Amino acid sequence: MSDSKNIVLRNVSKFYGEVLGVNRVDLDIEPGITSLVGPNGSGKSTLMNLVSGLLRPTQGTLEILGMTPSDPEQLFRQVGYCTQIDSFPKGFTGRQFIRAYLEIHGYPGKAARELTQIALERVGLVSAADRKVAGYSKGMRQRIKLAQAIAHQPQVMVLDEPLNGLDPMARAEVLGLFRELAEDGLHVLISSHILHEVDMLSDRVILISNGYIVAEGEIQGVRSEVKEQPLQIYVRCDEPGRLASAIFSRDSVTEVQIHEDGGGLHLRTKNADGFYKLMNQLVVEEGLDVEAVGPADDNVQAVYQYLVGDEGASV
Amino acid sequence: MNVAEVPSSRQVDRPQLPGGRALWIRQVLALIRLELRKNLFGRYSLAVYFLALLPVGVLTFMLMIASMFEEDALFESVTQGRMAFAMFFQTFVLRAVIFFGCIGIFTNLFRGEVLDRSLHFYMLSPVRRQVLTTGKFLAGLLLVSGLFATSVGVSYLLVHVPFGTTMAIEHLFSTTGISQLTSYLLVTVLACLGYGSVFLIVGILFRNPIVPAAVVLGWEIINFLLPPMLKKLSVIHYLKGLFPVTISEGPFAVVADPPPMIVSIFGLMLFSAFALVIANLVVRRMEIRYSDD
Repeated sequence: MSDSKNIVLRNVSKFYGEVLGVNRVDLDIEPGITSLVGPNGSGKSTLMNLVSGLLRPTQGTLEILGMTPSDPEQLFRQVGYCTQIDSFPKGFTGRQFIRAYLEIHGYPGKAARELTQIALERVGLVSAADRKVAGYSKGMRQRIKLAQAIAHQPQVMVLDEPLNGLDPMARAEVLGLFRELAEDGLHVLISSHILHEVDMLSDRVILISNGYIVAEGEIQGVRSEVKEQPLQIYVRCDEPGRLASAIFSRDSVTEVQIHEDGGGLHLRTKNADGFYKLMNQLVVEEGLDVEAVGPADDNVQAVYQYLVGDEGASV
Repeated sequence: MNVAEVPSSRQVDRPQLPGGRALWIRQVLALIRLELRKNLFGRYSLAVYFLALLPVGVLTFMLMIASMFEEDALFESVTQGRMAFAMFFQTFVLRAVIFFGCIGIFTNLFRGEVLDRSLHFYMLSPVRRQVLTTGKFLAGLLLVSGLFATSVGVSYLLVHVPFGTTMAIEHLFSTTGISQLTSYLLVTVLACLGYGSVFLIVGILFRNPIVPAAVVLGWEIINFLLPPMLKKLSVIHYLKGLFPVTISEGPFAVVADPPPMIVSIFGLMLFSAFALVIANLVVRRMEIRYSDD
């Protein structure tokens, strides 16, 4: 056991026979929220299962907070995993389900009851806690799995599509819970196909395609590395037509599109810094009333599509 | 839910847990409780309940038929009744009821969880794999032993019913009656232990346990024909020395002395320990992969 406080993967590969799961993955994941993004079959769940010890790597090494998956007794005190699988013991209420697994951790009755109550409160399921899990809605099942994953107060949370089945309200609340856990210094590793929310939430993203990590880091940093791809910028202003003709005559803008409502435009440029300087100049010179300016493709979806091409469109 | 109003779990001290053996015992007990509860309501248990009721049902049916024709009493004497029960126990209860009951429970201890996609709950718990294997095995053993011992006990009582309440009580509480009942219960528990161990391994090693279970059944059935050396490789051989009543195995049987009681008991316990070691080795290498991703 080392002193590392991160999740560290070194040259990790996983093959299912001759089928590639993930290949030569090197990651060093710090505390905070990390999102794993990729289309179905890209290797997200394989990577999640490797980190949580459900799978063993074909080659390479993993360390989670300095522990290896070969020592479940130590590791799973610090790891909570919310799987995609909706499977619960028959006849159990939500409360009994959480409590039974806390007792397997070794917690005596009173402590297990208290931790169960805290977990249920955190996921907002106290009122339904004494109902049978079999009668829960999809969203409630998702929350009870989350409660089970956080009940023993782990340092690492692995959440495989945790937003699936949640209505917008519950989704916002659960995202708030993730932020709270991250603020507490936990590692929160999330895979999700709801890229917009993940993008807003994440401290960093890992983009995976066909079993390979194609990019990782803060999303803005990843975006800036995609140098060959022109940056998309939107401008909301009162006279987009005049602005379009002005910038076309002076800058390396490659494409301009006026918004349908006529209240702004979308443009592509390979020189973002130059464009922003030009905008300041134009506002003064042309007397434009600019409401907002910002990058339009500085999100996971856009970056993913740039990196992996058409495949990214299905994410 | 309003997350902001909820107290952060970080503010609550996580209770300290004991280490080493004390923790393992606590975990095994928790596993047994959870497994018993799951098994009591599990789909695999329905067949076991049916099997446990079968001896009682068969004997009750025979008694009812006999009572309808009073001149043809089911048994002429208590001794004859006990002999008939010995035959019934050794051929039907042991080789069919307990055998198939153990298949139902023990082959599904891990395989059933994989099919139900629920094994990850255990695999993600901070539990040593040997603790997990032991807890699940003990829960299965408690369940089948409890069910089948009750079934055997009630069946043995039923054999005495035709002789009237007073006679039945007198015979049951005689030295022979209590000794025989104790022996049958001991054999039942040891049979569950032996067959349970066999099918724990079968359930872990084979994706489809039907073929290996059929091979084991065949081996146990032809045990009386096997040479003495091979007889030792069967569960039934170690139970024979504990039967309170010996019945003939027919003219073709290869006669061999059953092992002494102490060898039978410790032999089966040792075999169970060996089965748990094997199961643990496999479970430690087990991977969980439900999704196609």
